[in-house]
Amino acid sequence: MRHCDYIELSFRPNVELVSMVRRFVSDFYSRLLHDEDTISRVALATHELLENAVKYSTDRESRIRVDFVSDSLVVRTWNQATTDKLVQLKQAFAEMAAEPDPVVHYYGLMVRNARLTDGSGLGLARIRAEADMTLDLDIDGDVACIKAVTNLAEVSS
Amino acid sequence: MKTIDIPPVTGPGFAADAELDDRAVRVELRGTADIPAKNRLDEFITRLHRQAVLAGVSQVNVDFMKLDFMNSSCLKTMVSWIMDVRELPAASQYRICFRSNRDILWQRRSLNALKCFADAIVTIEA
Repeated sequence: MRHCDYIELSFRPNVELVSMVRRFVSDFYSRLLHDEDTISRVALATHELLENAVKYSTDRESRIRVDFVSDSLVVRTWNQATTDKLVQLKQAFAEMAAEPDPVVHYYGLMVRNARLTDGSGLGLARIRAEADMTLDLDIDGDVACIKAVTNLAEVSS
Repeated sequence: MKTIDIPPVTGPGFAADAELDDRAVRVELRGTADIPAKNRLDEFITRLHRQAVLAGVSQVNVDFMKLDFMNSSCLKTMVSWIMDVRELPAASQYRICFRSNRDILWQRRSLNALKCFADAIVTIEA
């Protein structure tokens, strides 16, 4: 039963542990899915989302959950963030919504952010364009929840 | 014979080295290029670009065969490097050829993105 299979971690990691979680998620879903492409895409989303959550968490705590919802595999991260960071996140999602083509948006950010010295500003766009996943943002108080979803409708488990 | 002076990157999780081979520079990246590796990768690529221009090479071959993962911050380092090459006078520009590992699936998508970003400079060898 797909809907019973999930991972949830709530912890105070440092960024050096993000790769460990990515590998764990990849190994976990390798046992459940026979689709290396999906596993690779979900692993990429896991790394990018969790790295952001860890980097910007104001209380150092981050939470990640990866699970099956209907015919989708969903990666969600939660972290407390500053008001400024929440505003930046809202802006980033508004920009994504304004450009329906994920690849056009991604390449545009590559050009615009090439000379950035603080962060890449590419993580979310990379998930959308390279991992072919849809993204949503939900803000509850000072907690940001980012959700990345890929459809499994055509994948046999 | 020209040589290049690029100290290898060593350390936990990530390594890189480069050597001059005739008219090309051969580069190998290994391990995981993520936040802990970011500063070391930046310094390595900055020095690599400077040395490649000084040596007047026509191509830099970058081997990703043992690169397990690259996060978006380190991918942006590659984007910035490609921009640096693109901004050189035409006579000084060199090509960047990435050798990918077919079994590491993110590489195909990320390297295709780099190629589409700068088709005149980037080639991919699978």
